[in-house]
Amino acid sequence: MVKRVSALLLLFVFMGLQGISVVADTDNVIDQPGFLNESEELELQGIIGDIEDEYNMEPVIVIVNATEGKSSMEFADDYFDYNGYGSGEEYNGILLLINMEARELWISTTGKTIISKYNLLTQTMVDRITPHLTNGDYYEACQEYLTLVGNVESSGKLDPFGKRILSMMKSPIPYIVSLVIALIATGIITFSSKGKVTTTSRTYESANSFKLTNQLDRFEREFITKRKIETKSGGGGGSHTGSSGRSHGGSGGGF
Amino acid sequence: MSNIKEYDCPNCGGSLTFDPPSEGWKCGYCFSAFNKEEIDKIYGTTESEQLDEEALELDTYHCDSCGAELIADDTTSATFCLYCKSPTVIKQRFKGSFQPKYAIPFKLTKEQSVDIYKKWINKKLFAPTSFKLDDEIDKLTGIYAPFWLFDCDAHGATTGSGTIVTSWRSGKYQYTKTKHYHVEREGNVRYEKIPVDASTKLDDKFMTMLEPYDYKEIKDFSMAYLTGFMAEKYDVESTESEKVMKERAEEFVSKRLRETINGYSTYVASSNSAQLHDVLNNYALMPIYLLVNQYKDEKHMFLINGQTGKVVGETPIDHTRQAIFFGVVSACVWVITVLGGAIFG
Repeated sequence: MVKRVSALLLLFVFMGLQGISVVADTDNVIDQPGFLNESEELELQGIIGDIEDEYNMEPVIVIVNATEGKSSMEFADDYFDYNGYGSGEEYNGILLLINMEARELWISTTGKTIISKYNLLTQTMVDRITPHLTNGDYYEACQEYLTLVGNVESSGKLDPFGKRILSMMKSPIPYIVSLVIALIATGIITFSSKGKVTTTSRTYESANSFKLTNQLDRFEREFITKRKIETKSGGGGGSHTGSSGRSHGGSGGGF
Repeated sequence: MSNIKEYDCPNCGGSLTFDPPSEGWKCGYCFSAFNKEEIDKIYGTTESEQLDEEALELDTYHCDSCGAELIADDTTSATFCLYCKSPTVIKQRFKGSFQPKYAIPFKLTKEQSVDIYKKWINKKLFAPTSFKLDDEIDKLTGIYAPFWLFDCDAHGATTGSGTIVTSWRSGKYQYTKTKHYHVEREGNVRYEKIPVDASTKLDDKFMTMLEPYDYKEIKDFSMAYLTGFMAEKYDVESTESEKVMKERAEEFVSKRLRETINGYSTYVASSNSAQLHDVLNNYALMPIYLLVNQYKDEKHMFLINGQTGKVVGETPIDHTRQAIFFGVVSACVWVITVLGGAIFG
C-alpha cells in the first residue's frame, strides 16, 4: 500500500513539476465541502483500491453539503446505485455518507453477501466513526471507516485478534463470569462434602403394596388466549430496497 | 448363671469372634471357623428368645465425660470413648435388658472400612492434608448402632387442580389454551422397617444418609453377632422415634401419590393428608464403623455403613485450599471467556 501511495505521490510531484494540471483519480472519495486535502484523498483512494483489488468489494466515501431532500439512507443508497459503484454481479460495496446538512452519517451496504456480512456490524462502525466526526476530524473518520472495512474483509471481525483480546480483557464480563462460576464450583464442593440421602419414597415400601383407592381427573374449564407475534424490527441491520430496486443494508446516526 | 458367657472355641477354648467376609465365626487362636448353624448347635438355638438378664454377661463402658455408653462382651474392650476420645471410660457389669429383635451383621472388616474411608477422604478437595493422613484413622471402630424399625400401613390423599397448557401458532397470532382439571388421588401403602436412629450420640441426619441397609441380610439378633464388636443401647424411646418416622412416612406417601399425577403442565395441591395405622416397632442393631477425628479442637464424626460401605461425615475445610481452588477456577474461566469472546464475539 505504502509503495503504491508513494508511487502515486511521485507521479503527482513529477506531473506538478511538468506544470500540467492533472486531476488525480479519486473516484471513490467524494468530498463536496472540501474537508480533505488532495494528499489525504489520494491516501484514502489508495486504501480503497487495495481493498477493492483484494476482496472484490468497493468502498466509497461521500461527504455532501445537501442531500436534495432525500434522507441520508436514501441518498447513500441512490448515490451508490446511480454512480456505477460495486464489484461483481452483486455490485458488492459499502458507502459511507457524511451528510453535513443533517449532521448525520450513514453506512450503506450493497450486494447479498456484503449486506449479510455487515448486517450486525454497521451500527458498531457508526458508533466508532461518530466521535471523530463530532470532533471535526473528517480524515480520521474516513481512515477509521476504511480500517474497519479492511478488518471485516480480512477476518470477518471489526478488530484484529490482538485488539479483540485486549478489549475482552478490559471488559467486566469475563471477571463477572469467572467469579460467579468459581463461586458456584467452590460452593458445590464445599457443601457436597457431607454425603447425600440415597433413599427414596419407595425404599421402604413393601412390594406391590401401593394401591390407589380413588383417582379422579375432572375437566372443569378451559381458556384460550391469543397474542400477536411481534415481528422482529430491523435493529440497525436488515435490508431494504432502494429506488433503483436494489437491496441495501446499513445503519446511521447523528454527530 | 448360665454357661452362655462367651463364645469359646470348641476346639481350643479360645474366643470366637464374628468374621464379616465369611459371615461366620473364627477362632483367633486355632483359626477354626464356624457358621451360624454350627454356633447355634453348640450354644443352643433360638438364643434371642432366651435373652434374659441372667443369660448374658455383658460389660458396659461408661464415659465419664460425655455420658456415652457402649456394650460389649468380653471379646472386646474399650480404652477410650469412641465419641469424645476421653480415656475416662469405666467398665461395669451390664445391668438391665438388652434385647434387640434384629441385627444386620457386619459385612466389612475394619481394614476394608479403613481403605474405604481413605479413598473417600482423599477425594475431598478441601480437606486439610494433615487431616487426610491422620493416624487416628486406625481408631475406626465397628459398633452396632441402635435403631427402631417401624412397620406401618399408610393412607394418603391429595386434592388439587391441574392444568394442561398447549400452545400453537396460527397466522400472526400465538394461541395458548389452558385446560383446568380437578384432581383427586387417594391410596394405601405399606411400609416395612423404616429405620430411625435410636442413639442421641449419633447425628440423625448422618444416620439417614447412611441408609439404605439391605434388609435381605437382616437376621434375628443373636449375641454371637456381637463378638468382636461393640454395641450401643438405645437411649431414644420408640415413642420419640415414632414421631420422626411419621414425618418421613407421610412424606413418602404424598410423594408417591404425587407421582401418579401425570400429564399435567402444573399441579397445585389444595389439600394433602396422610394417616398411619397399625404401627409396629422393633429394636434392631445396624452395623456402622465410627471414627471421631479431631481437627483444631473440633470433633468431626465419620460414619461408614458396615454393610454397604457408604461414607458420611463432615470434613474440616482448609480455607487455603479453598482459596487456591477458587483462584485457579476463576483464572481458567477468565482466560476461556476472554479467548472465547475474542474468537466468537
